[in-house]
Amino acid sequence: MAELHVDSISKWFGTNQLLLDIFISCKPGELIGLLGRNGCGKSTLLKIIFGSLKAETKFVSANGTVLQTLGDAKNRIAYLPQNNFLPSHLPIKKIIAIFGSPKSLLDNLHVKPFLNRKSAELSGGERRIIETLLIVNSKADYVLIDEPFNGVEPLFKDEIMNAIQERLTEKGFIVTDHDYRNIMAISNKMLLLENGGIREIKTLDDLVRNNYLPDS
Amino acid sequence: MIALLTAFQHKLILPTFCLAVAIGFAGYFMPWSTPIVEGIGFGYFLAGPLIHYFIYEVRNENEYYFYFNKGITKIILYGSTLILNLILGSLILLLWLNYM
Repeated sequence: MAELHVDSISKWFGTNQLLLDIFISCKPGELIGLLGRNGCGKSTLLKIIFGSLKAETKFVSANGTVLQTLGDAKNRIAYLPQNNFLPSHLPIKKIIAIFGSPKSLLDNLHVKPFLNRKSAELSGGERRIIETLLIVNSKADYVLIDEPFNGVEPLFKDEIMNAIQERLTEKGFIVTDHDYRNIMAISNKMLLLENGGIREIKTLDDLVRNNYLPDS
Repeated sequence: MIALLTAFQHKLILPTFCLAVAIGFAGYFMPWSTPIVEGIGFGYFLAGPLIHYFIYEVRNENEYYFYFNKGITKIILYGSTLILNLILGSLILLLWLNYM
């Protein structure tokens, strides 16, 4: 069955239990917006699903294949971390080539001007859009994106949203961001991570009721 | 995989060489005075993992995710560093021994 199935994720940091028996299911065509206050464990959860962080208990499967290690996630789950991850010593053209991205990316309006420049020479926002396009256009069936709009100007935000929407029919996405309006604009299902657990959010009132937004 | 590992190691080549040479010279000026070339050979064994740790674990930890997304784990990346520097160090030592 085509589905990213995440179950029984528990994570402790010392004596604090950050994540408590988390369950998430994501199908191709689904864009799940993951909201939560600072330090609630959004990034930790995405890293555990991706496989780069160990958890006390975890079950992750993609399209019926159980994923236990980072290597298992290759071409199944792609992850865009919160901070820039492009190798700073390589030109963008080379990065696109070795990452195995589609050649059409070379003609993208936001990528083309920077092809011969090293990623270290670009601004944080310019790097952010290029790495988001790399991850969104990867071969993976499921894409985890941690704060894609971080430090990005409004025009680039629209471009990132469009890139995600374009691939939505064939991939499943889990996206986090601190600005709930960005998440509400693109997601078709919203989850709130709070006190180690997940609850589904339907309306803005739900966010107020769960102390994510101020009551005003 | 080879292209990705080459890209990963590209960042380490020059600093590793510099540290290995520094270790070679340091060995020469020690009381037991190791020949410089021999010191550079042994220096590679130490400099490779040290520079890897400093460049990627301390300064650019996030760049690991570029390689993780292609299924390349830290074990593979550290393994490539160890093997590459073991080969380079051994080659220098072998050439030095033949020259002697």
